[in-house]
Amino acid sequence: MLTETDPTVLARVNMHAVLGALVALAEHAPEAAPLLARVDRPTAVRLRAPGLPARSLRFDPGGIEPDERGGERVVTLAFRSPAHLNAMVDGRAQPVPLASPGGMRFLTQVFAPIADLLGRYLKPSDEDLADPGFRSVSALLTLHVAIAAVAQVGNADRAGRYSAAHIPDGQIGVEVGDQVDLRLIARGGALTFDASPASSPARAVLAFRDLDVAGDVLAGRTSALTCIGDGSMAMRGFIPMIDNVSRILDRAGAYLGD
Amino acid sequence: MTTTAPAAPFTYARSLEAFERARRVIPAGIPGHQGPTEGCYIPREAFPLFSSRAEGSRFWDLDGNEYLDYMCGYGPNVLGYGDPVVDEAARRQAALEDVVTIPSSIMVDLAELLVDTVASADWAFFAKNGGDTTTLAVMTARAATRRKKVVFVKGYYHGVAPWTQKLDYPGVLEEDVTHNLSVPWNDLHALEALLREHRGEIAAFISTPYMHGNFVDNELPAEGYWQGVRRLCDEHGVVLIMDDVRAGWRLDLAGSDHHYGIEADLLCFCKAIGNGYNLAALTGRESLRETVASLTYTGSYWMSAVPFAASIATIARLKELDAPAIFRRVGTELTAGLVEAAAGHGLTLVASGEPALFYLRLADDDSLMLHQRWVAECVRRGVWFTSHHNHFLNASLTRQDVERTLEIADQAFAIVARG
Repeated sequence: MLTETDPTVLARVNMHAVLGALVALAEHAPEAAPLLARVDRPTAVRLRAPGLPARSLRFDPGGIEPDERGGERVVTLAFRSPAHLNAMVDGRAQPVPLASPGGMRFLTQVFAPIADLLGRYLKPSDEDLADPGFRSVSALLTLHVAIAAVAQVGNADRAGRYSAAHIPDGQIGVEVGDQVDLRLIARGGALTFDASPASSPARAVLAFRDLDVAGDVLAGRTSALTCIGDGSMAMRGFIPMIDNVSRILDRAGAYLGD
Repeated sequence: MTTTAPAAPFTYARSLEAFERARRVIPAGIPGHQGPTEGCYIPREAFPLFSSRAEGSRFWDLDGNEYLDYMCGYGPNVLGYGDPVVDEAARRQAALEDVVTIPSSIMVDLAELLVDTVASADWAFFAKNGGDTTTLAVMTARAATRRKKVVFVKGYYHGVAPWTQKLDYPGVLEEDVTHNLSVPWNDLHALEALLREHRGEIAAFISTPYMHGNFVDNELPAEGYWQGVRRLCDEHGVVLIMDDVRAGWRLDLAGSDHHYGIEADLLCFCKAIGNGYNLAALTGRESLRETVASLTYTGSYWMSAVPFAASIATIARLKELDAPAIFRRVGTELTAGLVEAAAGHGLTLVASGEPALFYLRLADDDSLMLHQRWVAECVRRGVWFTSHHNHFLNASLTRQDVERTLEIADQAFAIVARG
């Protein structure tokens, strides 16, 4: 257990897991569609920070995609450092926008409100959580963030890499009821999060009974051990894969603030 | 193969009620290796959670379901639950004294018995759990050599003290594990290279007598492996610690180091040493006697007399029966029968490790899901196997028990083979 976190790893988590959840937000949150309707032409948001691989998100009225297709209007959000990017995600700093006037309008009218919407789902108020629909989407997005963060932490954090090195090749399924089947793909000690529909059987599966259970576990309101005991969570398959993913998930909590 | 009516799957209403109570007052309900998570109860609903009584090779759960038990309490049950000879010895000692201000001299009796029985032992030091002895062994090695580093074998388990855990375990500091090095099992070249690379820095090499790790086929030592380890440890002034907590008293009553043809410097015992009475022992060679004596290491219950009496009776009975020979014979027959039964359904069961502590794996998929289904079907019909861990035999197991086991295993293979 390392007691310190690495700002560069946190920036990767913010870039790929937190902001990466915008893709799922557009798909699942009903409030996203009217915001995306304001997109006047396909726009790519490029995030640039020293020492970090580039990251782009593509916006159009139909949704958000995790990569550029080419030909989009480009808006670049530049950061002085990984810490600067982290401060932006925390709401304590602004990026340096490099954009045309149309791009600036996109940032203020689309990107900023949709990022705020993501924040509302990831840090929900008690009032929001009282709405079952909101609660489900919140838990689903939290799950996306957590699993994507596992991949980043497993590839970049010192303790995470130690755990990931002990995961044999194969797919680890994270299931919620019968509806959600997210995959972490382990290959050569590196992890990739794949949000697309599963194409082959998982070698190990961690299953939540429903999104409420997933939300409670990921928010720390209950423990995985307790839930496996009462049957609201289950595991099967090559358990060392689950065991090591759980250790990385625990470490990811240090970055995501549990 | 089935000769009796198929067993009806068990249900566990009372276990679940008790677990609900447990969850309210015990973290995770049942923490640790005897709980549903670490115990790999997959699926969870196929397994009971609490037992109510035990006798011989069997235990009964809270709902009255009866199990032929191939985990033996994860090892302590070596003669049979409630062995009358051992229990009578314990009762006699309990009538005299147990935990008192000064120890009972029966502690000396047991130490003498261990020195007489265990080939490499010149002395014995008593504690309660296996981890007490592995920790004492490493402290002893460090004190004797004034070195920090310890070499482990990859996939190791030597208890739950912080030094035995890993960098990524909650509650374990990097400083706790910073002096831990590791080599692959059966790899003398890697060990030699590591000892050269860290010449003068390594206090100990610690290993189980063979690789009985979880979730993997267990591996016996290659020809000459332990002799090579002994030679390298001697050349580099490294203390050779054998963790015989799991395998001890089942392979060879003179110690598993003796079984594989060497003498360890320190030998760690627990589990089967007292047939369920709570005791652990570190034995060692003369050269380390004064070092152990110099350490600050003790516990409130470590000199309780009843487990000493139970242990003396257990070891005497194991000798009388030549229990390791029984375990080898029964384990070989049982695993051969299981492999044959699996093959009868088109399945490939791999049995590995020593027959006394056999490990099982259905090799028809690499996820263990098929194997987990088979184990679950066995448990729900009264044979307690596990999907993740080596098993343990006890001396009360009868031929009829083995036959019944094979019948139930066959029923479970049939279910799994149907898909």
